[in-house]
Amino acid sequence: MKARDIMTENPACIAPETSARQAARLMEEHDVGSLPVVENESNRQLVGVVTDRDLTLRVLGHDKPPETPVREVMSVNVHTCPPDASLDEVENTMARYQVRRIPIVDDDDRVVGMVAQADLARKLRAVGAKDLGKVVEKISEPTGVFSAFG
Amino acid sequence: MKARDIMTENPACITPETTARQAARLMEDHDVGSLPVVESEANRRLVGVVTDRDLALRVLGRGESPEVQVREVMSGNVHCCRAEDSLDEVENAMAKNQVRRIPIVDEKNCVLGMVAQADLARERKAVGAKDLGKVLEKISEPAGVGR
Repeated sequence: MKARDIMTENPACIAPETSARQAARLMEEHDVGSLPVVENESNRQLVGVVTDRDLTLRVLGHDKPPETPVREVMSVNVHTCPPDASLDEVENTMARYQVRRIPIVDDDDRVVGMVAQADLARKLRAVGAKDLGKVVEKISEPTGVFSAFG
Repeated sequence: MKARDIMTENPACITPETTARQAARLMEDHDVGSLPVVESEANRRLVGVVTDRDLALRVLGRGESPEVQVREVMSGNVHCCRAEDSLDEVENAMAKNQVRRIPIVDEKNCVLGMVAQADLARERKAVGAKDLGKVLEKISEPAGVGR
């Protein structure tokens, strides 16, 4: 079982110029808590990730206008996995960096999917993973906005 | 083991008049993703909960002013637990309502504490619960802002 088997393919992506408001609307529309930020629609090269929490703390809380481009508030140090990563690797990446969604990128750093904590949990439950509690605890630790992606 | 044994006591609370911007700042200061909204500082009676996601989607996404009062964007139908509830009950309440933090209230609906998913997971790991995966899956399902 690999990341490619449980990932959401062709996830919604945004560009660095996308406004904070548009990003928030897309999060509502797609029912997700974070969006990969790509260089452009055609190459889908990953340049960052923005979460609903980033928008609230860094835009609303820091007095930035809703038109602020996400490039100003996204996290650029993004932790990713390749499509052929094992579920253990994905799990460890989530736990180590305390994130609930991981972009899956190809050799050219192009976004090909996303794996959410729920996808992994569903799978791990099916196989009866014994260390899940440990992972949940790690992923669920309170984190600051700047620690989310290390 | 009861909710009172793992809850954070006297958590940061806001009132319905608190602005969205102030709430966002408090979430950063206290490193939390949701805040209980209470009638007043004095009585701490629970009237709602606001999350970082509520603020992003309902304020920023809908073009509301940062000065909007949280009463207009909070979830008023709050699921809470009592201090003497078992961890199973807290766990079920989180799973059923797909929330990661749950307010603990007394018989007058006054906020005594908060229990986070992490508090519960830490405790469950210690006792080696078998159904954690199931609960996690439920809590982790994508949830709309109206949850």
